[in-house]
Formats: sequence, structure tokens, C-alpha cells
Amino acid sequence: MSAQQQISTSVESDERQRLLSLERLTQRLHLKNNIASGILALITLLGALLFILIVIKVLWDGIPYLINPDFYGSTGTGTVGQQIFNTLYLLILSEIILVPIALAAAIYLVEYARQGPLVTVIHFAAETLAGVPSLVLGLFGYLVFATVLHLGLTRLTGTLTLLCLNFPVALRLFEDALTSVAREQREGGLALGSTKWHMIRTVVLPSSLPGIITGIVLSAGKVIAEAAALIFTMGSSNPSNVYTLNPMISTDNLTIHIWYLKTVGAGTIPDNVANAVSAGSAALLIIILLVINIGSRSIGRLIQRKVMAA
Amino acid sequence: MAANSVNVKTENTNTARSIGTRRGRLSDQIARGIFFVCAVLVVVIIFGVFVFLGINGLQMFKDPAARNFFTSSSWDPSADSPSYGALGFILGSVVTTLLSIIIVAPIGFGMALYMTEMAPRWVNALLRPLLEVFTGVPSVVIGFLGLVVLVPWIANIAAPIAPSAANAGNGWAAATLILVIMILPTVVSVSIDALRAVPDSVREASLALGSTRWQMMKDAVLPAAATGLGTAIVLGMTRAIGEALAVSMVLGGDIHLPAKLLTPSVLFQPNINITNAIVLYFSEASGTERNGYFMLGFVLLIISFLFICVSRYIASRSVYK
Amino acid sequence: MEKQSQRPAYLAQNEVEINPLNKTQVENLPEVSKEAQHMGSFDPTKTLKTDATTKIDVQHTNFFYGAKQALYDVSLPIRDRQVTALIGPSGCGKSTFLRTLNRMNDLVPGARVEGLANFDGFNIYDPKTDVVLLRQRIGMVFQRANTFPKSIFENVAYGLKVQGKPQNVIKERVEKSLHGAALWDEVKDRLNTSALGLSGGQQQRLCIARALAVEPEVLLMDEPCSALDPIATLKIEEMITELVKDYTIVIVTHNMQQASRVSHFTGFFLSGKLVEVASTADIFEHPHHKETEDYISGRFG
Ligand SMILES: Nc1ncnc2c1ncn2[C@@H]1O[C@H](COP(=O)(O)OP(=O)(O)OP(=O)(O)O)[C@@H](O)[C@H]1O
Ligand SMILES: [Mg+2]
Repeated sequence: MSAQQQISTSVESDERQRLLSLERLTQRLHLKNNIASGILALITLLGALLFILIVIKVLWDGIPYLINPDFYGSTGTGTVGQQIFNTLYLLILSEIILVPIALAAAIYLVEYARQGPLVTVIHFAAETLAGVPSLVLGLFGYLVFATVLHLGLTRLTGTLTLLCLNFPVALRLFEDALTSVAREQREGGLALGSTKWHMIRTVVLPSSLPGIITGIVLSAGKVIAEAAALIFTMGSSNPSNVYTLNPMISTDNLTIHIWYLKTVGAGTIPDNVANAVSAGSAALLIIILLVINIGSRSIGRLIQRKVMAA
Repeated sequence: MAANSVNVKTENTNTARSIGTRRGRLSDQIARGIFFVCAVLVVVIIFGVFVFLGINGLQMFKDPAARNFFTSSSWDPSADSPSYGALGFILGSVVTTLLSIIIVAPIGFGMALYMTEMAPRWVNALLRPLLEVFTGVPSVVIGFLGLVVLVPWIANIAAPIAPSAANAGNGWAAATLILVIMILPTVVSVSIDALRAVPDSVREASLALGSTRWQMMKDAVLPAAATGLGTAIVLGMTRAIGEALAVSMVLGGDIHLPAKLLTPSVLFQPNINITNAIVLYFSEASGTERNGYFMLGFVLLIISFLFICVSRYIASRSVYK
Repeated sequence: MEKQSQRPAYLAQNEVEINPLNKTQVENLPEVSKEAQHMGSFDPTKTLKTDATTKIDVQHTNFFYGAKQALYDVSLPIRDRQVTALIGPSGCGKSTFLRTLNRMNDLVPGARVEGLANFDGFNIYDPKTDVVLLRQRIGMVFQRANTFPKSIFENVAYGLKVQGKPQNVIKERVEKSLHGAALWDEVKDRLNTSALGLSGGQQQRLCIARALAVEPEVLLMDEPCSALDPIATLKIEEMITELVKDYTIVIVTHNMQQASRVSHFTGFFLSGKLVEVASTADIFEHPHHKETEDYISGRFG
């Protein structure tokens, strides 16, 4: 330090000048940086508040109805017991159809197919199908399942339409789950002399189970939330008795019910009842989705731990 | 003798094993076939969607009255001389989609930037699940909330400039804001993925040259993530243009486009778009009108398809995957 | 046995590590050395100033990646307008040390530094230090080329744009620093094409040019020649001997010849400790520690 102070040439003072201007420059840069950071933080805060307030609002308005046991009954206009049953029915039926098909397709793509035009085409098709608006798929379901296949407006038609809607989503999630199984594990399986299918059953599927469960749970969320694809394929009103496993009847579900009460069916029941039912159902749906989203992670993790332990 | 019996034994086990593997191969073949059919099913479905909607939609043009589908904005199937101009519906979808993406893009990118580059861990821990829930939120829930909260609120604010104070809350403005809520989570999530795909070495390079964090984001990270962010925009638009029930619940329109289009008040009166028309009138319609709604669906399908192609094209040009 | 030969040298401190790969490299090198002799400036002993002022005075630095300590009590003066080379086996902490000098380790979550690095009257490690200003004064070339996915011109101009320099200055400096990094002739006709289209060695030189463009006082170079062919390496070395007239340079290298060709001072690191630091000639000819001697002679076979 002292040596530095002793030398005092014009070069030195040039350096000082340069340093001073650099210091001024960085002051400006810091100011801009702070302003920009503040704006970004503010945007995020407002965005987050928007979503948090929506959740709070929906729950706040809906929970008073949810805690009333009559809400889940099936008599009278202010009840959603039937809709809950229909939603569950639809959920289970669509998963029963969706999971094997999507899993089989994923197995083909990951385990059997060779990279080539066919895989590209299938992936492109899946991506395109995932981008088709659900209302358009509803029209398609109406044309093909309800009309051409003469299934009419029924739970089955709705389920098949939901299959089209969820297939690409589930396919991608299942594919991810299968690819995540390490290559050594597969090769270990094949080296034991078993066939590929045997290897898939005994090695790949068990170890990709957490990912598969996540896929199932997430597609379940989509089934529960869907309405647009169903109004032309499953209907928007209920027969006298919905508590049946018959897939050939036309019913609504929770989401369709909200839509119906607030639009087409507005006026069939008093406005305050419609609002009450909608608020309660909305809260119920949001709660289910929250549980599903948080649950899918922890279930996946839980199963992973079990599989590891076994 | 002893040697012989050993030979026989190995032969026996050999045949047994080969039967076993043959059976294994057969089941392998069958399984493979089934899997193949399921995989190809995706292609069949999307093909079917195009074919069925296309055939049924295009059939409307057998009716000479439908010739003005792409050239007129007057949709009046029940008039004495019916008119099938769909431009009004298309305009509605395009306007609300564009407005919403214009609002969503800066907010979405801002949130994604903050969450990937600046936020403390707990912010992400809170927001990521919330965003995920909202990417799959039932559109009717948002639509209902729109009816209860948003529409009265807009009506209050916009009443002075709207043609009818009572209906000032319905229309494109409300639909746009609903779309903002519906697509913001998607845009943020995809943008976050895009920003995460930018390797840290890019950030290091920028900071080592004496940039501030903001300069790093603006000049290094955002440009490096440009393709991914483009995909986020296109995916957001795909969702927006196809969104049906939530939008339909707050639009409040029927089949008529407002007379004066080039004033701000056009946003604050009951108005129309493609999905609203299908949702409201499809189930009652017949003949040319019904095919008209299929045609509207087909138009939506083509637009979504183009969006997907664009997003694939953009993604194919990305540097980091 | 095989396993042992793969171990880094510091795990077998008393053995002389003879790596066949290095041997072949050494055998190939004489050609290059001849060429080096033609370039007259390649003799650091001529420019060595043992009384040069200390640009950065690093004292008692400890560094931790979370719980794992990577540097132990490192004290090392970095002399003004001299080249300081850091050598040592892989994983010994050279990069870590280099990155503490312009606070790049701030980006590593959980990283922590203790000690003092006096640079122009302030402590680099002080949390209050303005890292933006610091990094504008202490530039860095990374071990792996980290080009921006932008055009060649944009890459070099980046730091200048950050500083808000006017367009004509940018143009001039971009050309000057591309010359300096021995890259100009190869890229002058395609300045506006993507930098990712360059070869690995060209990208590394582009990163050097980018760091030069902002004219830092100190230039930290982490194995700048690891991806370069001998000719490009020589060009960089020539560039370093040129630059050191105005800049202070710290260079990490695995190449002993390189250290002796370009550096005035050399520090030898082993397992996170600075074993010794002295003028390069001293280190190579009269190392004070056995480890240093083993390492150097091990490399020389
Ligand atoms: N981000 C990190 N987190 C944890 N440990 C790290 C990190 N980076 C480096 N290390 C460890 O710190 C030690 C020093 O690493 P460093 O990169 O400084 O070595 P180096 O001398 O540069 O080696 P090389 O010659 O291979 O580049 C190593 O043991 C390494 O494993
Ligand atoms: Mg290193």
C-alpha cells in the first residue's frame, strides 16, 4: 500500500479518472437494477395475490354451504349429492379406460418403438390433440360417439370424449415415468434372459410406479375440472335416479351443474339458490384440486419410498 | 449308457426351455401388438377430429346462403333469407385472445423472471403449487367468479362510457380478464421452464463482465430463452382461443356484433365469440346452422393446429433443450 | 492398481505420478517450443519485476462449499502488471481460488469465504463490496467457454453495452479485442453469425476477447488454453505477454511449459492449500517443498 502511494504519475491519475467514471457508471446501473427488481417483485406479488385472493374468495363464499350436510343430499334444488356422485362415477370410469390405453401407448413408444417417422408422427399427433380446445373435442365426441356409434348423450359418450382429451396428457406423463427408469435396470432385466414384456412387467413398471401414479392423479384433476367437452356428449341434466352404475344414462356433473345454473338454466331456480349451489360447488372443486395437487406429489414420494424399501 | 442318459436329459430340458421361450415370444408379440394399436390410437383420434369436423363443417357450404361465412359478420340463421357470416365470432375470439396475451405476456415473463432469478426459495415453494392448481382450474369456477365479482366491478367502472349501463360489465373486457386468469399460470409455468433451461454458464458470463442482475436477465437470460418464451406465448394463445365456458359465461352476447366497433365502448357491452356461439346454440340447431357450428369448431381446430405448428417450429429453433 | 493410477496426484503425495497421457504430450511439445523461441517476447524473466506493487493482497483465505472446505488459509500476493500462474493437480482448488477474486462464488448456494483480499484499499470478500464494479475491474475467462447464444459481434460487445458505451467505441474495441485474442482473421467475415457455430477453441478465444473488451485491470484466466491447439495456444500466450504490459493477469494452467513461458510468479496448490508461491524460475528450479518438486518433476517425467 505504501509503495502504491509513493508512486504518483500521470498514468496513475488517468487510472483514478477511469475508476471514478466506472464508479459513477455502476451507481447508475445499480439504480436501474433496483428499480427493475422492484417492478418484478411487485408484478409477482400482484400475480400471486390475484391467485391467492381467488382461492380465498371461493373458499370463503363456499365453505358455509359445504359444512351443511344437507348440501350433499339429493332432494330439492340446493343440493349437489347427485353431481358429486356423477363426478366420481365419471372419474373412475374414465380412469379405468384411460390408464390401460395410455400406459400401453407409452410402453410402446418408450420400450418398443425405434426412433423414426412413426414415433415423430405419434408425438406430433399427441401434441396436436393436446392443443385441441375441449369444446371442439366435445363436438367431435358428439359426432362420433353419440351419433355415428349411436351411444347417444350418455356417461359412456362423455367418458370416451374425456379419453380423447386426456390421452395426450397422460401419455406424456407416463412416457416420462417410463423413461426415467435407468437403462442399467432395463438391461439387467433383459440379461436375465426374459422376454421384453416380462422385463417391462417385472422391472420397468414397478420402478416407474410413482411417475405413473402422478400421471393418474393429474389426469383425474382434468376429469373433475372438465365441462366444455361434456355438455354435448353427456348432457346437462339428470334423470330421476343417478345413483346407478349404468353408463348409458345422460347426467351432469359438478362443473356442468355450475355452468347450467348460471346460464341455460338461469331462472329455473331462484337466483340466490343458484348462487349458493355454485359457490359451494366451486369451493368443493377447488378443495379437491388443491388436495389432488399436493397429494400427487406426496403419494408419488411415498410409493417411491415403499418401492425402494421393497 | 451313463453318457447317453445325460444327453437325453439335456435335450429334454432344451426342448422344455425352447417351448417356454416360444410361449414367451408369442406373448411378447401379442403385447407388442396391443401396445402398438394403443399408440397409433392417438393418431387415429386426431385424424378423426379433423375429418369429422371438417366434413360436417364444410357441408354447410352446400347451402348457397353460407357462402358469406368468411366474408360477412352477420349471423342470422333464422331470418327469412338466412345469413351465415362468422366474421363477428372470429373477431371476438381474436380480439379477446390478443388482448389477453398482451396483458399476460409482460406479467407472465415478469413473474417467471422473478421466480427463477431472484425469489427466495419459499416464494417458489408457495407459488409453484398454486400455479399448478390454477393451470387446471375448472373454467366454470372462474366463470362463476367472473359473474359474481368481475362483471359487477367492470360495470361500475365502465358504466359512463358503455352504451347500456346495466350491461356494461359483460363483453370483451370481462372475457379478456377471465382469459388472463385462465392462461397466466400456463404462460408462467412454461416461461419458468424456458428460463430454467438456460444454463448457469450464461448467467455467469454476464455477471463476470460486470453486469447487474437486471442486465443479466434482460440482455443474457431473456434472449437465450427467447424460443421457450415464444412457446409460452403461443401455448397461452392456444388455450385462450379455445377457452369456452368461462368466457361464454361473462360475454353475455348472442349473435350480434355491436354496431360501432372502433370505440372503446365496444369492450363494455354484451358481445360474441366463436366458443360462445357454439355453447349457446349448437344443441338446438339443425341443418345448415348446425353444420355452421361444426364449421366454427373446425375453424377453432385449424387455428389451434396452426398455433401448435408455430410453437413446434419455434421450439425446434431453440438452442437449449 | 488401475484404480490407484486414476487417483489425483495429491492422494499419492509421495509417489511420483507418471501419467502416460502426459508423457506423450510432452514428447509432442518440443516442436512448439522451438516456435516459441522464435517469438522473442516469450521470456518472462526479462519482464519480471520482483518489486512490483501488490495488486491484490490475499491473506488467510478459507473457503467452504457448504460444510466442505475447499481452501485452507491461502495467502498470496498478486503483483501489478505481472502474470501469476496457479498450478496444482485437478481438484486442488485453483478455480475456487480464482473465482473468489471476483466473487463469482457468490452464485454458488451455501458457499462461504473467510479472510481478506485487499484490492485497491477495500476487501474483496466484504459483503458490502460492490460486485458489479469489482467485476468490471477484475474480468474473468472461465474454464469452459461460455459464449452467449448471440452473434460473434454481440458476444464481444456485451460488456461494452453493459457499460453503455457508444456504438463507435464498441465497434473499435470489438475489433481490437478480437485481434488481441488472435481470433480476428478467423471471424472477421462472419461477425454477425452465431457464436455457437464456432469451434471449441474459437469459442474460448471469443470469451477471452469478450473479457478483454471491457479493459479490466485484472484478468483472471481459468485454463484459457485447455481447448486450444498448440498454435492457438501460442497466440494466446503471446497475447498474454503483450497484455501484461497494461494488465495484471492470473492464469490457472495444467501445462508446466505454459506456466514457465508466460508467468512471472507461480503458486502451487495442493488439496486446497497453497504450498508455495515464488517467482516462476524459483519454483521450477529451486522448489522449497518436496510436494512442489514431485508435482513438477512428475509432470516432466
Ligand atoms: N459448486 C461446488 N460445490 C461443492 N464442491 C465443489 C464445487 N465446485 C468445486 N467443488 C470442490 O472443490 C474442490 C476444488 O475444486 P476446483 O474446481 O477449485 O478445482 P480445480 O483445482 O480448479 O480443478 P481442475 O484443475 O480440475 O479445474 C474440489 O474438490 C471440488 O470437488
Ligand atoms: Mg478448475
